[in-house]
Formats: sequence, structure tokens, C-alpha cells
Amino acid sequence: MSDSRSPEVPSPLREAWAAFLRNRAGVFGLAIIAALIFLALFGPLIYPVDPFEIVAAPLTPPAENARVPFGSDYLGRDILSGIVHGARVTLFVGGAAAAMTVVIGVLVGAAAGYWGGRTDRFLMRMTEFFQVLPALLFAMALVTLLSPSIPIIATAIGVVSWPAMARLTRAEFLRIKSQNYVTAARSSGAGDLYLITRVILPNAAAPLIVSTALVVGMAILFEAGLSFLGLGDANVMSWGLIIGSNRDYVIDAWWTVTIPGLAIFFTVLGLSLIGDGLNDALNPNLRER
Amino acid sequence: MQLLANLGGRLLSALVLIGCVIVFNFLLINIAPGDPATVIAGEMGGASQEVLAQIRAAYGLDQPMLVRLGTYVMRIATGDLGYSYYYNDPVADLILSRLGPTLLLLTTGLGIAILLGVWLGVLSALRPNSPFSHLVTVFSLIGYSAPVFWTGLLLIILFGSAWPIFPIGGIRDVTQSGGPLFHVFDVAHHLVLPALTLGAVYTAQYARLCRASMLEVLKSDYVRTARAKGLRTRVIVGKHALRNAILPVVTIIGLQIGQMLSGAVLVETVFNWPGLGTLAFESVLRRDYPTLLGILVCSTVLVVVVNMLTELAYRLIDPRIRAAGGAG
Amino acid sequence: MQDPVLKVDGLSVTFRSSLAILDDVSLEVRRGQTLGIVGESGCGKSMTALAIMRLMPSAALKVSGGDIRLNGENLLALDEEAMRAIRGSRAAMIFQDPMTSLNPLFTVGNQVGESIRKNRQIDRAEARQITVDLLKAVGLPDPERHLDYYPHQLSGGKRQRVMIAMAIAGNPDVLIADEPTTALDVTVQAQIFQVLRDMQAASGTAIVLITHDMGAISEMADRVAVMYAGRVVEEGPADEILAAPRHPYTRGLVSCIPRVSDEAFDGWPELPVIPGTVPDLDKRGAGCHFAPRCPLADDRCAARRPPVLQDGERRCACWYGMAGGPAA
Repeated sequence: MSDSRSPEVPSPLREAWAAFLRNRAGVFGLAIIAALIFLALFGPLIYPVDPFEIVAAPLTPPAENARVPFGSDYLGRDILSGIVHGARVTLFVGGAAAAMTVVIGVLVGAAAGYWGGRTDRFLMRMTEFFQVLPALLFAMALVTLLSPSIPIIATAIGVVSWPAMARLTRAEFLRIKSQNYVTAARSSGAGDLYLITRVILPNAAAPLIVSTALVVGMAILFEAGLSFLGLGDANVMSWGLIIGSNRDYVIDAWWTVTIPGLAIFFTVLGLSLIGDGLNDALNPNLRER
Repeated sequence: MQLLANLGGRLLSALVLIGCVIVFNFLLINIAPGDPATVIAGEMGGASQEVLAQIRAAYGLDQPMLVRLGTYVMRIATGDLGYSYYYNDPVADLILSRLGPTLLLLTTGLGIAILLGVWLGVLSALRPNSPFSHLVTVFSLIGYSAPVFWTGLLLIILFGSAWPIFPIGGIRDVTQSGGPLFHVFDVAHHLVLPALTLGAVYTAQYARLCRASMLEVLKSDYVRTARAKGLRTRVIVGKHALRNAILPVVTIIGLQIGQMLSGAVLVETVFNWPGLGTLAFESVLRRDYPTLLGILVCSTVLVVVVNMLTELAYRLIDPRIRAAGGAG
Repeated sequence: MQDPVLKVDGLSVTFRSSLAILDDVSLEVRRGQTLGIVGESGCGKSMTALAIMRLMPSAALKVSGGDIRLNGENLLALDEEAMRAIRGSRAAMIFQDPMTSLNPLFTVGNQVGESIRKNRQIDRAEARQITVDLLKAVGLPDPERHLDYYPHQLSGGKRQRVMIAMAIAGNPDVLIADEPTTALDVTVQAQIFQVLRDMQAASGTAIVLITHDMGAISEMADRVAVMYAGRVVEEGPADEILAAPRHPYTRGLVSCIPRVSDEAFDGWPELPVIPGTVPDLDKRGAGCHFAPRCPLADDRCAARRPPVLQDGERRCACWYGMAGGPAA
């Protein structure tokens, strides 16, 4: 069949990016995350109010006092400042935990999927073990036994989240391993490392990338849960902490809970939308009619 | 029969898994900085020397590590999860007393999520481009992205002041008393908000999954055959399509039960629901490590049990797995 | 001669109201006869079958003209409920891939039983017996045991026999078989054709056999309709058309059949091919669709659609169709 298209075929990456841009929801999500990153990086510089400083009467409603545009919490601290500064924690913990999850998960899953046999069985047992541990309870125990510092929290989240990633990676590797192009590469003399990193992994990348977006979202929710319970770093103002510490006053002071919650919600929503957009862009055959 | 042999195999793996968790628990106690005896006593700010000596003797803390591990495992195997110095009760008793409400919350939340989620998913798959379907998609995104404790608090705001038709805390009304029937209603009444909160997150997920799965199944060849056979739409969807579409949902329930337990911890805290979650939260506050770790072991057992049940359910539905017989 | 069981008259199907998938397709089958519909991928043969059964896969595909009469009744005029009653009872269809066309989660007995009990009040025990008889009729050994088998436990040939059993359960007037043996081994193909022939001899069911395999046509078909790019280009008794094809396309197809004979091999160093490819849906002109690839085509062919010339039992849609002689 003759093809009258020009020989200038765009690279898969550019095509995927173009497809992603066509997905309005995905772009919206990207905008939200971009705003979050901006807030985290520059927010405290633009709005340098200390979130722990008492600047107004306790439980001031929003739009009443110019010093606390979003209202104040039960101690009289500025909620807006809490939001601005909380963005950093959210971003850091979400990013660090997700990075750990992806690295461990992909390594374990790739090894299990590629080598199979005893390696697979052993790694899967390990995965099962960590999957069965109830995540929050384990993180609670870990944080309580050690100390509630940000790195420990990020590590705790990473440690309980990697099994799902490992499973996904393993499934993809198993699927791709038996494809003809892998066999062809191997018979041309490609070694294990080359096959794993240059042949199989790029083809497995699509669902892994989509999953990563969702993993960041889950890590953020997890951190929020921990700080809500008071297990976060007490010296750092995080969105979950604002909600948790004001929880007894929620009926009369809805803004102390609603506003930080909206921040978390929109962040995770943004990540979910990005994940959906990526899914549509990278797996066109799965698109629904 | 094949099925029983598989069950036996799964049971064995489950026991090994639980064994690993117990050992892991032991390791956790020992990685905490400081004296394990203090860890076990709970940092209540100065457990007396006699108590500490008692603990050392009882737990054999002067023994080599492996002997201690052995004693620890034996204790757990006989149901002795340790002693809570805060509550002055054996941990096992504490956990048992709080297990009921948590199970109630979990099963109700899960039940809501499955029934509502599958129903929404199926309906939106049958009319894929309708406003209803878009609504379900939006609802799924929201349910998935909103932190579960925030949803709970929002419900408290709504039902606490504006529309007080459901109680927003506790498991029963202590100011009233009545017969067993009243008791059941009372608990059910209190169960509504926590169960809805917990269920909402998973309803969103299952609706989404079921919708995608159903859309896939409706395009399949065997559904085309069912149509060619002239079967009623009700039969095609309800019998042929649904059973196939629901398989991924069953799988995911098992994988997610750990998450659901975490969600339950948060929901219980928000609504003061007297279950394992609030017990765990309190133990964290009081540094009551035996209780906390005891809860960890028990909840892991719970997860393993649920995993086994979902796997059983999957095998019952899908005859292909039954025949294959081997490990999952 | 009695009236045809199935008569398709001038059927046209469009996609999104602009692209013609089927263009003025006419064919008919009589009782006890087999009509073969043959053509390349994309010629519209499967779409014709789906249009007859009103099972077209997308709402964008609409019948824009013509009639489909089953024993005189216009199927296109029926509402969905009436059509559903006809599917599986008076008109039945079997598909290409028996592996995916049977529901993997239900037993053979269950799925065949569905067809038997559709629209009829028969209790399970009686349906079971009828199923056994049907499975015997399609040549399945040990039919009682097969009742409880699941599709994945059967070979491809057996699965297709089960499909046939399901299709004939309602004693249909016409059975449409869409490439029933394409996914099966050659040896199994012959068996399946035998099953169909035996069934036809016993019940007089008309069969519409859709295939791209001229060999299947010569084995099974009494009459054959050759389709190209959505149109019927030649139609008539199968043996006559195979021996002396008139339409240039049919001639090309027939000459592609590898033959072992001295004449055929003389001067033919390679298998002949028809140059070019089937034109895309949006690139089919007003004239004869085959003109771009036809050795006999001229300006008249490209400009206007050729008439259907009738000669006794045979029809041919070509200006030059009646001219004898081999194609270049």
C-alpha cells in the first residue's frame, strides 16, 4: 500500500504530547499542578506570613479581617499562610514518596518479570508481604517508633506503596517479554541489561507513567492522613495538620477544614486528571468510542 | 477436589505470611531507639523500675535475640498479644472489644461500595455518552481525589448543623436505653455517616472500574453471540455481560482491603467510632506500643483473610482459574 | 419454484450518512440451499450478514434503502422487540472465532439451553435432553458429559459445533455462517462443513455461507454471490461460476486458485494476482468500483455504474460480462 504522507514522521514522544494537549481535562490538571509548583516555590516569598504566628483572633471567618483573608484557626493563625506554606510539604512528600515507590517498584517488578523462576517467586512473596501490611497502621507504627520527621514520613509512605507498582511492572514485563521483537533483539546478541532498559522498559513505560501520576496523588493523600492524625512533623505546617488540629471546631468554623481540604482535593484531582490524560494519549487503542 | 487442595495451599501461604508479619513486628519493637523494655512499657514517663524489671523477665530481654524472637512468636501463637500498660488490660482483650465496630464499618462500607459502585458503573456503560455517564465519571474523580477524612468532616458540617438527621459521632446514644431492637436501630443510625464516608471513596473507584470493564465486555464476541441468539437485553447485560465485567472488581477488592482498613482508621477517628482505628490512634497518642503493634498484627491477619476470601470468590466465578489450579 | 426463504433486495447501508458500505445489494436463498457470499476483506460480506440480522455494530451505520424479506416478512420494518424474537429462532448466525464467541464463564449446557428455552416454556430437564440431542446432531461425542464442560475445555472444532448447535436449536429458516472455519485447522474445516451439510439435509435450513475462501465455496455452495467494494458483481450457480466466471473480478479470483493441471501451469511461472487494492470507502467513484484494477475497463466503466445483466440463472454487473474468454 502506497503511503503518500511526507517522510517527516513525528517522534512518538511528540505525538503523545500532542495527544495529551488535546485532552482538555488533562491540560486542566496540568495547570493545577503547575499552579501548585509555583505556589510551593514562590508562595512563601510572595506571602511571607509565618503560618505558626498568631495574627488574629481565633476562629475568625474568612473575608472579615484583612490580615487573615481565609480566616484564622483555633489559635488565631492565618489559614492562607498555612495553605501557601503547606504546598511545599505536599510537593516534597508527594514527590519523594512517589520517587521511592517508582524506583523500588519498577526494580522489583522488572527483576521478577524478566528473570522469572525463583527470583520471581521470592520477590512476589516480598511484594505480597508489604501489600498485606495495612499501610496507614504500619506508617503510624513506624512514625511513632522512630520520629515524625518529613524524611521518615516520606520513607514510610514509599515503603507501603511500592507493591502495586511492582505488580504492574511485572505484569508488563511478562507481557512484553514474549513479544517477537524482544526475541529478535535477544537473538541479535543483546544482553540482559540492554534488553531490560532499552527494549522492554520503553514499551512498558506507558502504563507505568500513568500509574506514577496516580501514585503521587496517593502519596499526598497518605501524608495528609498522617498529619491529620497528628503524626506529621509538628514543626511544619501541612494541609492535613490544619484540618486535624481544627477538627473539634469544625461545625462552627467550617473554613478551617473546608479550605485546606479543597487544596488537597484540587491537587489530587489535578494529578488524577493528568493521569487520565496520559492514559488517553499513550494508549489510544483503549480509548472509548 | 481441586478447589480444596488449592484452599489448603493458600491457607499455608497465609500462615507463613502472618508468621512473617509477627517476626516483622518483633523487629519493629527492636529498632526503636532506646531500651526495648521502655518501648514495651510504653513511654508513660517513668515506668517504675519494678515494672521494667518485670517486663525484662517476662519478655526475656536479657536473652539472646533468637530466643526472644521464639518467645515472642510463641506468645502470639497462644493469643497473648502483650499487655497494655495504659489501659491495664491484655491487648488481646482490648482488640477483641473493638473489633466488632470496625468489622461492621468495613462490611457496610464495602457493601455500599460494591452495590452502588457496580450499579452506577453498569448503568453508565450502557449509556456511554449520556449526561448520567458523565456525572458518574465526575463523581468518580471527586470521590477518588477527596481525602476521606475531609469528606467525613464535610458530612459532619452538613449533618451537624444544617440537617441534623444523622448522629455525627459515636456508635450509640448513651442517653437512651431500650430493648435489643432499639439497640440495633441505634447503631444503624449511627453507622450511616461513617459508612457513607468510607463507602464513597470506593464507590467512586468501583464505578469507574466497572464502567470500563463493562464497556470492554459489551464489545466482546460472546455478547455479540448473545445478541445473535435473540436474548433479552436484560439477560444479555445481567447474565452474560455482568459476570464477566465484575471479575476485575473482585480482584481489586482483595488488593485494596489494606487501603480500606487505613481509610477505616481515619473515618473512625473523625466520627469517634469505637473501633480498632480509634484504638490505634489513641495508642499512638499514649505511646502504647504493645497495643499499636498488636493491632498491626491483627489487622494484617484480617487483610490476609479477606484476600483469601476474594480469591475464593474469583475462583467460584471464573472456571478457567479453577482448572488452572495453580498459584495466583 | 417456491419463493426464496431469504430475499435481500437493493440493500444499501451507509456510514455516517455519507459513505456507502453496501450499495444496492440483492441476493436470495431458497429452502435447503446454500448461498455462498465471497469476496476480499472489506467487500461488505460480513456487513450484509449483520444487516440481515440487524446486528450492526454502530449507530452510525444505517440502512439507507432496500428490503430484507424473511419468508415474505420485511425485517427492516420490524421493531427491535419483534426482531429479537426472530433472532435465534427463525434466523440464526454463527461467527468466525469460536474461542471468543462463547461466554467463558458458563457451561456448554447452560449456553445451548438458553437458545432452546428462548421464547419457549420448557423446563430445565427437558431442555437438557434436547441439548444432548442437539450436541449429538452436530457430532459431539459423549454429549452428556459435554453439558458440564466450559468453553475453554473444548477444542476449536468442538466449540464451533456447540455454536452450530446453539444456532439450530430454534429450528431456523436461515442460518448465516460468517467465516465459520477461518479460525480452524483445515482438517477440522471439512468436518464442520459436513456437520452443516448433514444439518441442512435433515431440516432443509437455508444457509448463507460467508467466506473469502473459494475452496469453501466449491465444497458447500449451491449458488454464489461475489462481492466487491460493497456491491454484488456476479451471482449464480456455484459450479457454473467457478468453471466459467464472467466478471473480470471473479475471473481474477478464480484464476488465483492454485490448480494442479498441465494447462494451468503452461506459461504461468507464478500465481496470478489481481493488481492494486480495494479502494477506500471515500475513494469509490461513481462508476464501476473495480475499474481501476480491471484489464477490460474503459471510460464508460469509470463514468457510470454498469448494469446488472441477467442470463438465465446468472447475473453479472459488467458491460463486458457476457463476453467469453479468459482475462488478460
